[in-house]
Amino acid sequence: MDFSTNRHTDLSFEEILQTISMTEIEHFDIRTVTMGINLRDCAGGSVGEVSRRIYEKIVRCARNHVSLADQVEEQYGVSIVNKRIAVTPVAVMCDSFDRSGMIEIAHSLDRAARELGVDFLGGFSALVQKGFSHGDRALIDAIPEALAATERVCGSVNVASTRAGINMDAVARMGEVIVDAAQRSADKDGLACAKLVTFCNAVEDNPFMAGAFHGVSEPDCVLNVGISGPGVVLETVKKYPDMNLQDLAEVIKKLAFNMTRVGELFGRKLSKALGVPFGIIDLSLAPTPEPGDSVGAILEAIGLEKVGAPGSTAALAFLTDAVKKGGMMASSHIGGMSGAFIPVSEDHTMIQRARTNDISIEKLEAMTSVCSVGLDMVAVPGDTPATTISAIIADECAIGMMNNKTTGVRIIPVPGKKVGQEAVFGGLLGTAPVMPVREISSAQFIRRGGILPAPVTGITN
Amino acid sequence: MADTASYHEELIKSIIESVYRELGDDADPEQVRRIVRKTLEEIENNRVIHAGPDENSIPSVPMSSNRIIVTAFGKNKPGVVAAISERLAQTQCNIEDISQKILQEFFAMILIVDIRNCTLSLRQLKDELGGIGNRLGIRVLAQHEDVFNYMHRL
Repeated sequence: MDFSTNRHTDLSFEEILQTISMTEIEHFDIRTVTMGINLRDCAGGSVGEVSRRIYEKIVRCARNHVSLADQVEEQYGVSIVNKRIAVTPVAVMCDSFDRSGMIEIAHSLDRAARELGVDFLGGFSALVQKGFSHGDRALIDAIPEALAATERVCGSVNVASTRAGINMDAVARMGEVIVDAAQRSADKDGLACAKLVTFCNAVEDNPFMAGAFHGVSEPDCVLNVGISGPGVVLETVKKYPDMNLQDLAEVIKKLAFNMTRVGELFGRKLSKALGVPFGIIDLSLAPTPEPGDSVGAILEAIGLEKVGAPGSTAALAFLTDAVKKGGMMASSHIGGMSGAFIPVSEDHTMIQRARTNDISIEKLEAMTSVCSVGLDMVAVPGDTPATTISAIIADECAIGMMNNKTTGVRIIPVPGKKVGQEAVFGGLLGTAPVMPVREISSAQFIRRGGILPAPVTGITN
Repeated sequence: MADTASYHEELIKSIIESVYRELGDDADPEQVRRIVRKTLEEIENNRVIHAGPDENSIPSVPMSSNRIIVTAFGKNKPGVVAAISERLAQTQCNIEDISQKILQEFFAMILIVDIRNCTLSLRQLKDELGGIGNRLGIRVLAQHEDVFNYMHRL
């Protein structure tokens, strides 16, 4: 019997079973609902006053965020993995503060996140692609201590853009900041670095951590949704081992449509209940360390023996494009990163391939030219020089700048650990095998500093 | 499941029905008090799920319809339809449509169910149906209709 002739619903038997299969068997979930909160109206006065105002505003705006998201999960039978908060870049709001003031603000953000029961709050951030203001310098100086001393605060620094070029002074500084942050959290394998992203072309409405912040052009309060679903795509791709790629692209597009529609439902319902505008859906496929919830495994199901093999970049480009095309039809609120994340420590298959050295940092770098973001959750030896980390950031920025896309680096020089050992962060941050880095110096290049000029592609007016 | 406007009318109807079901013609004042209290608790639990843990300060998530889709699948055996439909009837759920497919010894059944007058919360109903499934060795799932409509239709 088919419901298509039925007065009650026009859903077919097969469509209902597909939904059940996705939600009950293939672990489809909504990865994150992230509330963006403007804090510019909290600026002015002493550190203590600003600190109190931001705590009060965040708690006021987001007091129902977690409980209402829980209700939506309950009603619709699809889980929302993370409920998070992004705020105005702190360096923008607190430009007159010094380093210690910035650290106090980080503690205030941490307290607000704890009070609300959200695991991560993003926005301890600065935008310095063209140069530093007073607050930008203070915030960047504060990052190592702020991220090591707090539990839930995430930070990001945008050091490059297609229009501005690459601020190589900021790139050089971020290498030092990352090493410092790792050392300050050495007892946790450099966990502070897992909460810090260095960006090129950072987006203002990204709902995913650790790089989420509430852009200055955003409304006072907004709800952004990040979908997920690598498990659903994986199970489906496995069913068609011999299908040609354009037909397989159609299959993936349909799945991305289905998944994004659920994101649209959740975004509409939750934003209405919260009384805040619905911002965007980020169409990214985001993996977790759970087996079966892996982007790397999808690439292997597409036809690679192991991710890292030649063809990995092409397979990822294929996947990212199909996900975007299917999702765009499903919602008029598309934004954020929208693509596929390839974090090493957060992806079960990637962890395996990094362990056996089947995937290298260089191959990952190539893949970042077609994925959502960039080199993500990559652990390197603790004695990697800061200038080498800066040079890795510069390479990623060059890819993003030249191709007009977002790229980012979340790298962890794990204190005291060498290739063959592993950094264990636990939970969604997973386990990162320490990957080898070429021991060839880039120090002179990084020491030059200055601005690496914007490319011709940036001059489009 | 009720709108605020029709809440009182439905509440009274639901209580009367519960009392009638349990007592028939042998009503005794203490029994009536017990059943009314129990019914009110059930309805209150049901409201709490939809209004959040503290309805004075927390708004509720709006629903587009009052229907759920119940899906049962597993190895075919006698009594599956009876067990599920009996419990739905006991909880004042109305089956609007039922459809099933059988392939060799396996079956899949889909029910469209109106839960407007349901005496349980959606969570409680899901748990109960899941429990029936466990007893019969099959999977029984219940999800709100919105998820299916959104996923497959623009």
